[in-house]
Amino acid sequence: MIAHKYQYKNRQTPDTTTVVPATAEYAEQIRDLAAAAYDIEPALAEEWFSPAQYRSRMSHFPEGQTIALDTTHGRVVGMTSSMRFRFSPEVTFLEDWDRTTGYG
Amino acid sequence: MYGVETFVHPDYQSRGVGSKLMNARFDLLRRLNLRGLVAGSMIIGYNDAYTEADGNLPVEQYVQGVVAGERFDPNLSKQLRKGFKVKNLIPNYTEEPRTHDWAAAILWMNPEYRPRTIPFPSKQAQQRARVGVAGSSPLS
Repeated sequence: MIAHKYQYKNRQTPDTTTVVPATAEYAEQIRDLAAAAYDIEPALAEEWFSPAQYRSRMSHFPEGQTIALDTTHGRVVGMTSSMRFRFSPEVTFLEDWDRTTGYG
Repeated sequence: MYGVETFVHPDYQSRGVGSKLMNARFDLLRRLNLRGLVAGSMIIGYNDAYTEADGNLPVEQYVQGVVAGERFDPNLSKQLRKGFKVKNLIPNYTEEPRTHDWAAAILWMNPEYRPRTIPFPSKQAQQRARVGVAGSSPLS
């Protein structure tokens, strides 16, 4: 790990974010954020990261949907999404993303 | 639990936001007493390293280098630092030129996970045996 420590950028900017549960009213902001983070054209964002999809995840497993808000202006700047899933740590995991998530 | 996705706005990267989001997931695993977290790590540094090696870099060798700390991957290196372990590689995970469609299956086991135990004989059967209900045995 140490050999490449220099590749971690210096954290000079103070962190003004707070982590909170993702709720339905943030779904549009999450779409825009995903497009910016994945560098996807805004025209494709609606299809790839539709607010309906994020709302659906929130209703299936609300605890698993978390966002980071910048407290200075209240906008969403980060997102993490999880789902309940039965797995065995001993078994090789080979499913692709679309199959595991049911296309998101 | 399965890690579907995590992303941070480019202007907010390298401030520890992703790390805080990941910690929220770990807290959830503890709170719900879940076994662990599986995810597909998008090894987005692979294509650059592959090109630099003139194509002489099998994906196994790249990931081994990242695990050993000899190479840096913008996703996997950070996940390893958070305590994830690489389980195996996944071909055709998502269409992505930077990873050549590969992902590393990564696993974080909840150290506080306690498997739920099911008493046998069942509580009802034990009670029936105690009160001596006619015609019932602890195993019925």
